[in-house]
Parts: sequence; C-alpha cells; structure tokens
Amino acid sequence: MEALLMFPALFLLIFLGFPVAFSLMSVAFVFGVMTFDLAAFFQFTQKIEDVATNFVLAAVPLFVFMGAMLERSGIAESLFDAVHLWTRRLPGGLAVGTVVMCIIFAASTGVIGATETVVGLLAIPAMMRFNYRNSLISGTICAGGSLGTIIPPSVVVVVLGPIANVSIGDLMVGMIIPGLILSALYVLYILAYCLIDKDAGPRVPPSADDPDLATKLAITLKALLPPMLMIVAVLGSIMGGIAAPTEAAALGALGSILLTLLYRRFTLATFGEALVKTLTVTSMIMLILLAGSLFTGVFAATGGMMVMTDLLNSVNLGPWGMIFLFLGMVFIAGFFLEWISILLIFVPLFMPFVNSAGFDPLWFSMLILIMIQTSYLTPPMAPAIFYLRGIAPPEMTLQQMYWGVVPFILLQVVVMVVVMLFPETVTWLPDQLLGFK
Amino acid sequence: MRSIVKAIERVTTNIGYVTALIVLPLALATVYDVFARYVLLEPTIWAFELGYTLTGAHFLLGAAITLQRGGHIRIDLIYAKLPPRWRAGIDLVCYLFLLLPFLVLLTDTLANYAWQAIQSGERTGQSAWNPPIWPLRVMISSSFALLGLQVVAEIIKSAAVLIGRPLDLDGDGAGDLPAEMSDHPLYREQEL
Amino acid sequence: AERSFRMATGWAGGPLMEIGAKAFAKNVAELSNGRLEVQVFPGGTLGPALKVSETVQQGIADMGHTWPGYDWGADPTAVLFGGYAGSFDTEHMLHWLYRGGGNELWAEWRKEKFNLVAMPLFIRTAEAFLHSRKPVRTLEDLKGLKLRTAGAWLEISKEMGAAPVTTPGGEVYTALERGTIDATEWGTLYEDIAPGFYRVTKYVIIPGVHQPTAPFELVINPKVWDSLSAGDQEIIRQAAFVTTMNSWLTIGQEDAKALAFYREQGNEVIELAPEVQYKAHELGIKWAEGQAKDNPWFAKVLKSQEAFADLWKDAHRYRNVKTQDTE
Ligand code: NA
Ligand code: NA
Repeated sequence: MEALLMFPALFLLIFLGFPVAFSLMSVAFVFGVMTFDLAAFFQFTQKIEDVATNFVLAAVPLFVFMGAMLERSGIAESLFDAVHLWTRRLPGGLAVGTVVMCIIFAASTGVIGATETVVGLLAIPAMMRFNYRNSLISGTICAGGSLGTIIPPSVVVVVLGPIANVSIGDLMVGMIIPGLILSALYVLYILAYCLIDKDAGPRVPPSADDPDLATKLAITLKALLPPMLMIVAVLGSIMGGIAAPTEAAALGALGSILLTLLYRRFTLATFGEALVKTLTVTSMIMLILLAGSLFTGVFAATGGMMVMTDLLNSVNLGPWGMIFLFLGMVFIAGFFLEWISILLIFVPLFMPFVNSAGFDPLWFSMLILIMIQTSYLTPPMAPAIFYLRGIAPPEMTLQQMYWGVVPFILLQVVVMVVVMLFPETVTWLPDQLLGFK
Repeated sequence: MRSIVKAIERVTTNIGYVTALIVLPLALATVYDVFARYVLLEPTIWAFELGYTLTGAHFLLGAAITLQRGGHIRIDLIYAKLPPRWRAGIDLVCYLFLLLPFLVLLTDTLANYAWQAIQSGERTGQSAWNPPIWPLRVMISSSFALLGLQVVAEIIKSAAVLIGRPLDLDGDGAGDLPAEMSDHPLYREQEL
Repeated sequence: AERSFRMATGWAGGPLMEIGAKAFAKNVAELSNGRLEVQVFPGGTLGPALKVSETVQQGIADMGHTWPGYDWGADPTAVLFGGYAGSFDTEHMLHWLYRGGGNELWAEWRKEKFNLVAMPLFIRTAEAFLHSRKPVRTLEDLKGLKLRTAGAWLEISKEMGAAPVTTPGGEVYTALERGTIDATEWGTLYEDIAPGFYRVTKYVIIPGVHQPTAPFELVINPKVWDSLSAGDQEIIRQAAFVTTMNSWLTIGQEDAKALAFYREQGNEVIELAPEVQYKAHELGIKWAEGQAKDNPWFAKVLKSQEAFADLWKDAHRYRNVKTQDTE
C-alpha cells in the first residue's frame, strides 16, 4: 500500500517548485531505499542504462538542433513571414499554419518531444511578433506537438501493440481517421476562436501598400522555398522509406547548417547558441523521461500494480461501466505518470476484461491512445507543457500554458466520444489498406 | 564560497560546451550510415551503437550545465510567487537532503558498476560491433558525479541567499544564453 | 499465499508472457496448493527488459523469465544455451538439455559466471527466417538484402552477403512499411502474427536458419533459492519443466495454424534453398569454433553439444520414417 503514498509525495515536491525531474528522482530514491535498501540503486543503474542506450531517442537532439539552428539564424522568422503573407487575412492564420506543420512533422516522426520542440522553436517567435495571445500560442504548440502520438508513425503504438496483443499495423492505420478528425477540430477551433475574439490571433486589415501577387510570390520563393524544400526532403525521406526517423533527423540537422550557410546567416555565435540550446532542451526532456522510469520502477516493485489489480477485481460495473472506469483511470493516471508507465501498468490489467466482454481490442486500444495523448496536456505531469517551457520565452507564463491547453483537451474528449459511438472510424481503414488479400 | 561556486561552474560549463558539440558526430555518423547503405551498399556495423552512446552522453553530461542555467523545468505556480529566501529554502532542503544523497549513492553504485565492466571486459551484446561496455558506464557515472558537483554549487548559492548574502556571480546563470557564451573561445563570433 | 515471489520478465505480452511466465506462475500455484505465489511483472517495470538476469542478481526481483542470449555481451557462451545458427533443432535441444547433461552445464555456468540459479523455462521451435518485402530463396537473393536483426546473426548474415542493420525494435514496423528495410526476423510463425508484419510484407521466408531453436530460462536469486525447502525447490523445478514441455507442444500446433493463416492473408510462403540452409549452419559452427578458442566455458559447452550431436547422428534414420511428404 505504501506504493500509493508515492503520489502525494511527488505532488508535494512538484508543487513546492522543485524541478520535475529531481522530484521524480527523490521520491523514487526514498521509497526505493525504504523497500529494497541499497539494492534499489541497482534497479536505478539498470533503468538509467536502459534510457541512455535507446537509439530511438537520438531523434530528439537532432530535431531540436535543426529547429534551434533555423530559429537562431533567423531563417524560421522569414519562413513564417512568408507563410503570414498568405494567411494574414485568415483569423489565427499563423496558428493554423503551425498546426499544419505539426501534422506534417507528426506524420514523419513518432518521437514525442521532437515534433513539439522543433515546431515550437520555429513558430513561437513568429506568433509573438504578430501579437498572438500567449495562451493560444501555447495551446496550439502543446496540442499540435502531441499529435505525434495519434498520427502514424507513433512510438506509443509500438509499445502499446504487443501489450494489448493488437497488430501494430492495424493500430497505425486505424488511428489515421481519428487523428485527422482531431487535427481538423484543432484548425476549426482556432479559426472560430480567432473569429470571435479578434485580439487572440489578429489578422491584418487590407491596406494600399500590400504587396502585389508577383512580389508576394518572389518573397515566398526566396524565404519559403529553401527551408520548405529541406523540411520536405527530410520528412519525405522518412515517408518514402529512404531513411528511418533517426536518420532523417540527422540529415535535417546537417541540412540546417547548410541552409544557414546558403542564406549567409551562419556565424559561430549562432552555431554555438544553437548547440547549447539543443543541449539544455534535450537534457531537460530526457532527464524527465529517465526520472519517470525510475519512479515507475519503484512504484511497480513496491506493489503498486497489485493494488490496482485488487481494486479492479473488487468492482463490477457491467461492460460499458468498466470501459469508462478504465478510461477514467488512465485519465487520472495521466495527471502524474508518463505514458510508458501508464501503458505498462494499466493495459495488461484491462485487456482480459475488454476481451472477455467482447469489445474489439483495436477499438479499445484507440480509446487508450487518445487518452494517452490527452495525458500529455494534463498537469502536473504534462510533458507537452514541460517541453514548451524549455523553449518558450520567459514572458509566457505557466498559467497561460495551463489555460491554453484546456480547449484542446476538450476537443480530444470530443474525438473520444466520436470513436466510442462510431467504431468504424478505427476499424474500417485498416481493412482497406493493409494486407495482400 | 563564491570562488568555490565559480570554480565548480567553470568545470560544469566547460564540460557542457564540449558536450554540446556531441550532436555533430551523432549527425555525421548517422548520415554516413545512410550513405553507406545506399551508395556503398554495405551499412556500417558501428553507427547504431555509436549513435546511442553519443545520444546518452549528450543528455547525461548535459544535465549539469542545464541545471546551472535553470533549464530543468519547475512547476512554479507557487514557487514563482514566493519571496527569494523561501525559494532558496525549498531548494536548499530538497537539494541537500534528497537529491545530493541520491546522487552520491548513485554515483558510487555507477562507478563500481563501471569498474566491474573494466575488469571483466564485458561487451554490449547489442550488435556485431559489440564494443566493450565500460566507456559507456564510465560516461554515465561521470555525468552523475558532475551533476552532483553542480548540485553542491546550487546548495551553496541557496544557502547564501538564505543567510541574506547572495553570491555575486557574473552572468545570471539562468534562462537563455548568457553573453559569456560568445566570449568562450569555442564559440567566438566570426562572420563567414 | 504463504510465500510470494516477484518475477521480472523481458516481455510485455504475447506467447512468452502467456504460455511462459504466467503459465509457470499458475503451475507453481497449483503444484503448491496455493502456498507459493509468483507475481509476474512485464518487461521494463522492475528493470530493463533485456537485463532480467541482472535484475534478479541484485535482488530487485526474486526470479526472472528471460532468454540466455541477451547475456552474450557478458559471456558469448550464452548463445549455446539460447540457440544460434549452429544449434540443433528444438527436439534435439530438449534431449540434450534434459537427458544429455545440458541442464547441469547450464546451471553450473549461470552459478559460476552470474551467481544465479537457472533452468530452462519455455522453448521455441525454429523461428520464421524473415518477413520480407522481396522474395528470398537463394544465396543470390540474399545479396544486399537490408534485413533487420540483432546479435551474432548480424555478423554471419553479412558473411552470407546480406546487408544487416540494427533497427531499434520500436522502428521495425515503420521501417518495413516504408521500405527503409527489406525484411526482418522476429520470433516464430505464431509469435509473429501479433506484431502484424504480414500486413506490410508479402513474403514469409522459412525456416529460421539463424535460430533453429530458442530455449528460454528461469533465473532465481541464489539467496531466495537457498531459503526454500527441498520440496518447494522441487515444485519450482517441476513447474518449469511442465511449462517448457507445454510451450513446445502449444507453439508446435500454433505454428502450423499460423502458416495457414499467413497463406489465407495472401502472403506467399517461401522455403530457403538447401544451399542457404547449409551455409548458415556451416558459418554458425565456424563462428562457434572461433569463440571457443579463447573462452573455456564456451569450449566446454560446445564440446558437450558436439558429443551429443555425434551420438545422435543417425537419429533421423531410425526416428523419422520417410514418406513422400518429407522428401
Ligand atoms: Na507520429
Ligand atoms: Na499529464
């Protein structure tokens, strides 16, 4: 039972303002030593080596560096200026552009954190310059950045598939429609919000000295084309099967250096700043990941999972009642656990119930997946917000971030309901696209 | 006290600057592997293991400079509204009684683990390259030692604030890239 | 239960979990009339999935279910117990382990090199060789094939002309779907249904020359083991034995059904030409002989396996009646 005390302890430290990664480590330390004495340190050692040797994570520093390089050199700024030339008449045009960029990145890499930091580094300065509201900016970046979970490929699915005994392929294809519905809702929400509240994402009124079409095209060609070409080349090489995500990220990192040279924006200072920014952002993200895995290890080993099993066995709410209970548990767990822990701890407990009640495991997995995506945005353990803090300017406050993500969490609930009512949104496409029959 | 903190932070930042460069060999090795696969029609046997080792080294060795710059995220809804001495108090207690003991014991365990690997010659067993595992373990234990060192600096800084005599260190040590960056020989500005 | 054990595993789910670790837990509970209980933890919860033996060694878990081959970095002898390109088939392996002195060597080796109590728990039949986007039959087809694998097979497949790559487990499916790699090996036919490779690769290539068999193992912390009565130790031995034999029977049947399933799904099943099968075995043996040169434990175990193979060399003649189907 003492395993459950780990959560209040974690809350206390986090809300006192002790850094998140260190709070997780400290709680794991105290409870680990209480249960296993110094043997706990061998568990820590193993977990650390596990995280430190995970090659999939190499995409994080590489993509962050690409973003930082384009940002520091000012290329990102000109890129978004060019986008804005076309979307300035649209309410919240830059935010819409950002979501679109997130979708493209999410479709290319399955690594969470990479999408958000790279797009965030590019888009935040631009949106701030055009006086977008901070809460809208942060909501857009956080929600858009976490699309990586539900738009294939997704690292989450690769972990979930074997646990739920559902084909990774069916999951990857099954999430396309829900993922697109969610993205579309994001765009519609931004448009509607900015249409109603004119100051949230201001559009520029037409004026006499608006550039004519030819000038616009020329500016766009110069500012937009080369970086877009690079991004398309990087992402295209993943989608076209030429390079794995990690490899494409490496291409992007080197490509961004070439691009700054091409625009004559390369200075050693810019380069050094981008390198150090990459280091601190990556280290922040990975240390939370690592500390989360220490925390989960101790939680599991001190009997946390047994407590959960007993809890589940003691209730009986009927099939749909159980589905809601499961999703509710994941939602609440999402407040303080990271996704790997949630999958490892809960899904093995749920699946026997789901299967014996006759629900489609693919459909249920999709509901879990949507819930996991929501968990990125739910405080206090909201990875999306941590990543944003690592790259956002100081004038963007935590409060603005928390409020900014609320509407997007509601949209995720909407998609959840749609998928619940219409399982075909998940099950139809895999049968159409996959296999050799 | 001030000179101790300055000495520690000089170590942390200098190692940090070198660590920041690790992204480059990581990118180069990974891109070379793609090149080897398509052009030389023979993928390297070393890119994968070198890749994860560099990734691990990058973020682990970077943890200390990230702390020095205040880069490890806090939920500061309450913290930000507290007076400086309260904040220093929270930091002092948590660093001194939780994180530092953790890091000391952890570093000790990790160092022993690395030492065993040096003696046994154990290999990674991850690929055909199969290099000895001790360099990885030496790197991991050193990074936690370095993080522990920076925590000591943080403890001294918090204690100084708490007794009402905050240390005057050049550079704010937090937030974005400080000016000192561009003065560092590694990154001295040069127009190309 | 009177006594409860924490068991670390390397698996998140699937047959290794269901008919391996969990079946063992159930057998222990039944044989002890509920006195002994084994709590099974998914891979990655107590310690890393690939480091179960260390997790048990250090006492974080009381026992573990793992594959000996994961420890080949610490000592390559591990692959002789876990199976490699030069191994016998599963039936021979079972005989060597339980009647030919294999288990005794295994236990002695684990005790001496890792300070663990060990015995077989779960055994696989030959794996599927590849799930491939391209047809592969001959050595020529293997030339330049971008296949994903891990461990010692990387080296050997390269010698056979393939271009093996180490793709992290998490990227394999996407890499296959998008054609970054041509093919992957994974588990047996039955186990490979769940990851769903058959949805994105047309060809199922058999048999698994890189892994003709794969015994898995139960490792137990020696302090925990010594604290058990002789009777309880025997219960654990029996539970492990029953689980192992059952896994062999179940996978045998399920593999047969899986092959039919792949065909129904529109996959084409291709059998490797004899030249590939001979070559893989030959290179496997050559690799093992190289390892034995400077590793006394490796040499000792290899010698025992060679002696067994020699004793059994005529077995296929007196055990297997030829019919037109086997020709
Ligand atoms: Na994705
Ligand atoms: Na959350």
